[in-house]
Amino acid sequence: MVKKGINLLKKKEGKFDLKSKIKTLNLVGILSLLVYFCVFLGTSFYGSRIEEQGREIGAMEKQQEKKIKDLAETEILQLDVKTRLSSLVKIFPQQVNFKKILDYFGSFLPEEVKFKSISITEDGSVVLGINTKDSLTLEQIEEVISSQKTDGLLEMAKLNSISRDEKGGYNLNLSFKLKSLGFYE
Amino acid sequence: MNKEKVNLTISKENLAVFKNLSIFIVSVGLIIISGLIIFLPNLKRVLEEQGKLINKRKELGQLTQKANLLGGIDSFEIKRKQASVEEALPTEKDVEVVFKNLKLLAGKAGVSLASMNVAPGEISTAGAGPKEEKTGKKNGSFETTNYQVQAKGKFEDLKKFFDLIHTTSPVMAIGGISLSLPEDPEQLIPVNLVIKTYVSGIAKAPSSLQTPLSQLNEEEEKVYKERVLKLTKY
Repeated sequence: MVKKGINLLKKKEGKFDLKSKIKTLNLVGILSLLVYFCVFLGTSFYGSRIEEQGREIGAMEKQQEKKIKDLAETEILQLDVKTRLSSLVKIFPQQVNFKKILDYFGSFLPEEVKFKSISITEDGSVVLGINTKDSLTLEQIEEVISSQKTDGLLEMAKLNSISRDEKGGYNLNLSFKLKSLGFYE
Repeated sequence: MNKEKVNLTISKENLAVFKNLSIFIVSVGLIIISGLIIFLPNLKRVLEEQGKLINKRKELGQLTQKANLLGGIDSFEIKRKQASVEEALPTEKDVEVVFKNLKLLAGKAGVSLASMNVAPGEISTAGAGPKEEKTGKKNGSFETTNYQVQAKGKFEDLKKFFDLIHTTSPVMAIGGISLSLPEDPEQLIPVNLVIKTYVSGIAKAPSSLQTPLSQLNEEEEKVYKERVLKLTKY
């Protein structure tokens, strides 16, 4: 049995069919023109839709702008509150709790120690003038300060001067630097 | 000779072909001409409009959000909030008010005020007042005035005085203290203090319409609830 195949590359024999090609081309031209007009109309329609939407949005914008303008007083108040509070956020950490610092020095130094003078600055620098009756208290002071440096709230402790008073006691001048934690409200 | 005949035949055929192709040629010509004159400019305009529309939608979104946020603010509540915040951080430097407040606090703590000094350059005048806050500015700005104060009192009363300074409106801070304790515990202790007072600018005009509404952040809300509202008012 002989198999029949379809020759897809079959060429028309004889004369080149110009008329049919022209017809096809004309048809293609008309179709292109139709497609072009469809695209043109579509674009124009889309453009007009966009314009319409733009107008709608513009009207809505005006409405919202009017609302905002009507609430201008509220906005000013809100801005003012915001401005002041953001300033207060920066101001409050500057408040050093001096009462807490005085209580702190009163609590960790031995009872025998008498305060002569105290000077504290907001950066946590403390200069303390104290008086002790005997050398035993001096040792206690040293112990307490070194323990505060490791576990407590002191960053630095320095003995500036030491002198004997008329009664045989000791006058000490000490400098401290406090860790900020705990002394700012 | 034969060759020339053939060429002539093709030329005639071509003429007929062009005639028959007129629809195609006109169509293509129309597409090209109207495309260049009408379609392309129209397309360009549409694309521009589309871009504008996207921006307009964004703007509308921002405006709607701002309008909704503003509409959601309770006018009574914001007035109350502004009043208490302004009381904590006033607009104008006023030495008299500061002195009056300190005197009141000292009296409450049982401390007597000996003197209060302020550097001449720091005293409020109409021209030297805080500059108007620029609208829409996110970070607040404030001015500080330092007062040198001398007071006298018992140790415990002085501590109470320091505590009161920190818990009273308008906000004040102690910049430093220096005190000498006398031999006699019954004797009053003189203390030198540096008191810092603060003033802030005031917002007088709303921000531009498109600028988003400045809302309070978590930290500011916390400061308001935990500090400002708890300040004692005089």
